[in-house]
Amino acid sequence: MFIDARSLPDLSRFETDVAIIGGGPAGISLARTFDGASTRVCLIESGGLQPEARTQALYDGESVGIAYPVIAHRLRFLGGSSNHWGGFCRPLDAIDFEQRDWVPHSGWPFGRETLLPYYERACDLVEIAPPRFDDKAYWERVTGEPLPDSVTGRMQVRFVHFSPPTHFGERYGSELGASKNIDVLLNANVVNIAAVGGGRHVEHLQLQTLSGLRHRVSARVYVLATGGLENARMMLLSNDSMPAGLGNQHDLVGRFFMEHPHLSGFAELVVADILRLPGIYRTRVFADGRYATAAFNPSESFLRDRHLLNCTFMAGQAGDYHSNVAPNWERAGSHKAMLEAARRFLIDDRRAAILPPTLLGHWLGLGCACEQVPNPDSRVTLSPQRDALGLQKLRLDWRLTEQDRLSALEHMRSLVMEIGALDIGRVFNGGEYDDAWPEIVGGGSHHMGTTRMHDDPRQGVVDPNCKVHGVDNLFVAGSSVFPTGGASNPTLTLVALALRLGDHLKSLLG
Amino acid sequence: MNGHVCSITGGTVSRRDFLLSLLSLLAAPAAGTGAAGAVPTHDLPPWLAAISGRPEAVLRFGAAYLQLYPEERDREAIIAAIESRMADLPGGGATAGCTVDQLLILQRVVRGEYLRGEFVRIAGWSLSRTEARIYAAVALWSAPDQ
Ligand SMILES: Cc1cc2nc3c(=O)[nH]c(=O)nc-3n(C[C@H](O)[C@H](O)[C@H](O)COP(=O)(O)OP(=O)(O)OC[C@H]3O[C@@H](n4cnc5c(N)ncnc54)[C@H](O)[C@@H]3O)c2cc1C
Repeated sequence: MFIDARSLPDLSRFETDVAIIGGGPAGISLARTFDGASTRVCLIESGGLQPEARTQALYDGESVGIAYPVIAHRLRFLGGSSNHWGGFCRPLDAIDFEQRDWVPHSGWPFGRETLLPYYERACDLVEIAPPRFDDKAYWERVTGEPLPDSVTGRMQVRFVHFSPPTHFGERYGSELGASKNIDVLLNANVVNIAAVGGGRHVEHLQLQTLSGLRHRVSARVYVLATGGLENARMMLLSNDSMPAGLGNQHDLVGRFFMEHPHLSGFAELVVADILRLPGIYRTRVFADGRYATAAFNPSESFLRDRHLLNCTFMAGQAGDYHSNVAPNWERAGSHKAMLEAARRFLIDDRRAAILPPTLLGHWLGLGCACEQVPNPDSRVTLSPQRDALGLQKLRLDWRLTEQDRLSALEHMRSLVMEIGALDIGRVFNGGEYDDAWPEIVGGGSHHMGTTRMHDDPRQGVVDPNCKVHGVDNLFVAGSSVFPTGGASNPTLTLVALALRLGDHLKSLLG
Repeated sequence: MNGHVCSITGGTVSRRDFLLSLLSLLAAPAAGTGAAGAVPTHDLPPWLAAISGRPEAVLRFGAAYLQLYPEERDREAIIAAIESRMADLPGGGATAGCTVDQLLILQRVVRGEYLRGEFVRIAGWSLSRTEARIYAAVALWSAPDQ
């Protein structure tokens, strides 16, 4: 059932079994696991069914590190940021879960195999089932194009699926609305997670609407699912019984913020014979009801040998060049010149003979999303500025390290090696990354690490079951629990974790 | 400047012949490049002028390479450097007699350099060392005698 918190009498009280704060992919996936069960669930969502400017403004904050638009990256209404996500889906790689001695603070408390059954269910939710993430033979069969093996041993082909993209609010909202045991409280902002016993037990949630009403929700267990930045902010704000913030006894909440540093268009690739780069590397391929594309990823053995971080490269076709059309921008002149100069290496006479005589070739943009090392100085704290509810805004200090940059550089080098050695094309990269991160480095709206998972309360905010260390009935869902972020987009993994949390809570609550 | 015996073949190919064939390989009119890409011939040695349709592009990257590596601004030495890379390949010396074979060997040399990460950045492009030297050789041999 949907309930608009603004239509309730002031100081309304709710009692439930599971209170989930936040109706994005994490919160909705978790709530759905209880549909039809005897457990009562209250899903508390700050926004309504549509975006609304005043509510969205509650996401405003400061960015004091690498420039980061904290408000534009998130959406605050039912469905959360899935209302504008790109739908890129890929599970983390097995190595991403490992404790790697060259990656400080790395290691999940469990391996990828623990998440595999949940990944399978998550694929259903994001509507990409049945997934074929690593099945090269399958994609060769459906596309009819052989996919070259790595000749350098540094790289491997991996596949990324595309969700339609599933907008969780629209897609699952009516199901939740019809559920007998799930209440969805809309336009209800949780402003405090009120704890007792020195912060060891959550007693209730304080809610506030923008119209000034105050309500309260009490539950047996509470799950914070407000997104990778906001989860930390909520815990820091909830400081009535622990001045440093709930669960922050070891000063870890908000630290270790990770993104996937994105370098969109960090390089350009020119190819004379487009068939040398199979179509699935250049475009989205439709098969068995869903789209996919191929990505260049570093091989696990290369990551281990060279002690590097993970990375994903993708290419997108941008344009064609003909000899009888003058280049319309400076770089195009350089692209054309390279296609002319290197022609003998990039196309053979038989292929050239059947292509339009004026066609010189094509150019593609190359982008990469990299892993960054978990870094305690990259963090979310509270700003002295306040939002419309009187709460301190978020302050984000996103930082990258030299290790992150050098790792990305080495992968760029691998890509040039691979592309050149396979005679695919030639790569232009102005070298802006040689000495420092370039200005174009940005995030992918992937907010990870701020309530990281670890067995040891001194090293993590939540335990392997996503329960906050030191608080007996508070759990966290979302990418904030990722101890490391790999180089895969986070939503599939956070949905898998939410489903796993659902199983855990069911067994806990009986 | 002409007439050196080239070491890359089992038989004998003069360095001039080698370079000529190399250049003709690179300069064979790529799709539509033809006259539009041709280098003005007035300042070329006569034997180079005989080759038509050389793309200006080659000269552009060649000149950029030589600017970065001025110590390689030596016609004979740069050809020798290319040759020695070709000779390194198994069978490279024995099959280099005809242009098609030379092209195949060069392609293998270049591929191998990419594979080993032996590339240089020329005008923003990551190019195999030998590939860049080929462009530089064309630029050097196209330039008026100093
Ligand atoms: C432009 C863009 C493109 C993206 N593309 C991809 C992609 O291709 N692939 C991928 O994997 N990921 C992508 N992402 C990231 C993806 O959207 C997030 O990983 C995902 O939405 C996170 O889900 P979540 O439920 O943890 O948090 P959110 O989606 O942020 O949802 C949190 C919810 O909590 C609510 N909330 C917040 N504060 C409160 C409060 N105090 N009280 C009550 N409710 C509250 C919010 O209104 C929101 O509905 C993209 C993100 C953006 C912005």
